[in-house]
Amino acid sequence: MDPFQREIVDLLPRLRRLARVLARDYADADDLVQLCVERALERRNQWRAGSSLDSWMFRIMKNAWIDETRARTRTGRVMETGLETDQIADARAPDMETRLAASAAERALSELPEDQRLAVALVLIEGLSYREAAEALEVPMGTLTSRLVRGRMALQERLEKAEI
Amino acid sequence: MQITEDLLMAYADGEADSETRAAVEAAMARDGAIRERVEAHRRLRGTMAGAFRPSLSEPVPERLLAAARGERSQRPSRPAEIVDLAAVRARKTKPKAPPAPSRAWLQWAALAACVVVGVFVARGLGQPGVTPMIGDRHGELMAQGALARALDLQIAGQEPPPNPVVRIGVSFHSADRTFCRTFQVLRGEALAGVACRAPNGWQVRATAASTGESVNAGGYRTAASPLPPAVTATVDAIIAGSPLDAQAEAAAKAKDWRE
Repeated sequence: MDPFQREIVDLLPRLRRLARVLARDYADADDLVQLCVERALERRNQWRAGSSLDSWMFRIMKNAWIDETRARTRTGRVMETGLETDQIADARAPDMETRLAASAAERALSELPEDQRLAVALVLIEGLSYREAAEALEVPMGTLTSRLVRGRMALQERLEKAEI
Repeated sequence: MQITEDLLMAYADGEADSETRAAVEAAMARDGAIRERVEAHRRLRGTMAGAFRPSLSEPVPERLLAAARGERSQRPSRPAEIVDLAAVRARKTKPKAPPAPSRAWLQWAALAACVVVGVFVARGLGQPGVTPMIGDRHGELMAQGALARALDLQIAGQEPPPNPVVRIGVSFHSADRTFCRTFQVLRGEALAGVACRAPNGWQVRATAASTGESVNAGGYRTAASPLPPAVTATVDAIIAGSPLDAQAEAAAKAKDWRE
């Protein structure tokens, strides 16, 4: 493996995590990661060394997902995401209370529209700066922050409701 | 400066410039409600980051590591073979003389608690209509995706989730000393089959299209359907002894279905 490939290997857990937020299904998410990794290797000469590999790959993943959802729409396949989702967050949480909280957070996130879901995932979960997240999503900063605010307000509302 | 939600959020995220920071801090000093809004933004950040952190410690599947190494042998877009495995099996293995097919296990199948797993049918990226729950790995047909997870994880006596995708039927020892389990796929392509634990996963020994109710998009069956004859014949041919009860299933699962 060359250094570029090693960096991708190190990123795989985070790529899977983001893919699960996007696809909301474990198996689809891993297929998405695979596609993303293959495209990243094909386009490695487009990556500027020294810039952050994670936001570059997140952008590739976002575009791969858009291609995939378009393809599904074209072939008339029903997008079932949203009817039920794989549970990502709770698998290894230490105790029941933490598991429940994690699972509520995940469910609330999965109910957001895709653009808000992505903004929240990149900033709150992946820890990207606003600028990096806007670049990964290929949108202006203002668009990113407005998606982020809307997503957060919806999450806060849902999680408060879940607590009652 | 008017204190909007955007500014409070940017402040909480450490993204505010110095002018905004000063304005937000002044507002926080005089207004407890604003302090609470900032605190709520920080709490949510902690909640979301914490909820998704455990997934980072999960082992990464080998096929993704292989993809990162630039090996492209297992592209997800390659259609999985899901048709007529019984024919494949017939070519590969000479049919044994069937041991007296008492079919006692079928009663177990009817009695067994419905064991289901509530996950999606795994759909391959860019492959219309094909459900890659079963894939060809070096000439062997292996369970993957939701099916592999169900075979690994689901045991009798667990509360079924509302929208099952895979139902596990009976588990049993085969004559060649492996654990085997029957399954039904309830969404997408309706399949039933039997898979046995191999060192590298679950090897699908037989599968056939499920007859009985058709399964429409979004629809699923709740009642146990009869296994197709090709599958029951395979079970008859390989089963040794009685199916496992719930306790034996739990013990087998604890040993990762290895003898």
